[in-house]
Amino acid sequence: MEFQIIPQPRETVQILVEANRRTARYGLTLTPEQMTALAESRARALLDTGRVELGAGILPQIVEMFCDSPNLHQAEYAAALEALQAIFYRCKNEAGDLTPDEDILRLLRRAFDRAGGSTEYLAGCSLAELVRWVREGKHGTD
Amino acid sequence: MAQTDLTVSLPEHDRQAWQMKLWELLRLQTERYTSGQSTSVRTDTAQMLLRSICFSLDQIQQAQPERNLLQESLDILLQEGAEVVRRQTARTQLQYRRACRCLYQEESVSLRDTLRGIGGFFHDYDPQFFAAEVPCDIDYQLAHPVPDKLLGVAWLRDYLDRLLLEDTVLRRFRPDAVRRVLAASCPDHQELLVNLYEPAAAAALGVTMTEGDLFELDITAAGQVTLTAWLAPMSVCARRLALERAGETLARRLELPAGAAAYLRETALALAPRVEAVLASGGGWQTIFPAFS
Repeated sequence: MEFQIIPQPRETVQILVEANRRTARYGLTLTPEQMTALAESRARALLDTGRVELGAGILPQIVEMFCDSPNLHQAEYAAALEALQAIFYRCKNEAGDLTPDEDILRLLRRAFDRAGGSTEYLAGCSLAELVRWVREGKHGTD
Repeated sequence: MAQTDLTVSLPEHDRQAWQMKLWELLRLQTERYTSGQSTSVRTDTAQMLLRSICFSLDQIQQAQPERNLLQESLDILLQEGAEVVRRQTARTQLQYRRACRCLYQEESVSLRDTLRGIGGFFHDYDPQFFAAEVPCDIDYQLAHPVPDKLLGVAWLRDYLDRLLLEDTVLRRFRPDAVRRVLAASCPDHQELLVNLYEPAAAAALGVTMTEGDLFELDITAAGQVTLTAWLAPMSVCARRLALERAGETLARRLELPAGAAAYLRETALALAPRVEAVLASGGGWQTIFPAFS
């Protein structure tokens, strides 16, 4: 029989509600509708990238890692989270299952800030390109 | 809602309870596999982890059929599952050592490569997370393959058991007779992925049906004529029965243990379609029951 792995939107939404309390001080909040839409986009992103997630997902950690970025603004907050989530899963595929999530999130945060908050730019780069780009920036070569 | 489907066999009873139990086991195993540092894994990794869980539970259940695994804690199930599989792996390693002493390895590159590859299995096999996998290349073809339902170390154990049964039968014949049959059945057998046991066993069955010299494995040209005269008038069922009887008679003459006798009987029955094809076409027996005199 088929054993179905269905991401649980309720669990994700619940954690995003808690995250809202922490991010409010940065002027970033999600509406209930945005939370539901994000939970659903998580399921799509997992399916698109061929990944399985059994807990609440990566969104709470993305929120935690990016909420203090000066390049993240309320107007595009939800859209940025959705894009970052999809980019994260793609990078995770390229890095391998045993690469810690946190390493990828740190890389994405640095790349995001360096790109001035452009998720489109991040979406167009492979993991290797992002690593190279961030490393060059760190050494001040651009 | 988007979803990912993983395929797994669940018991007929308590399906919903099992689905929930497996969900929790998979969540825990995924967390352990990634050392708690990853919220997600690739679908194929999840599939392998789930297959491993089901395989381990199946091994526990086979060892203790009376146990209700649904009532057991997740930790106990995972620990015991890995332990049962580790014990099986140790037993399989003993079988492997015996298999390394199989005769006629010089007659088959694929047999030598396969035995070498199985040595790597014991290094790469992961009873904790990927117990249902067989992490080595196995090219050598058995006369009767391992059933698809077997997985992981259980599959390998069955493969080695079958290989040793074939070796048991081959050891009953004179080596030069076996080599002559192999050369006649497939001159390139050393390089090709062909089974070494089947041609010798078939030749012996032909000799048995014509009461020829078993240890020469030579049905003779006269024997081939006799065989046609004996089999041709029979019905398909009667010929099948004749092959089965020949398998039993041969096993008795070779004084084979029960497992090898059953394997030889299976070989005899598997010859039926080829025998029918030869009789239908009016062709010769040389490719099945070769004559050397």
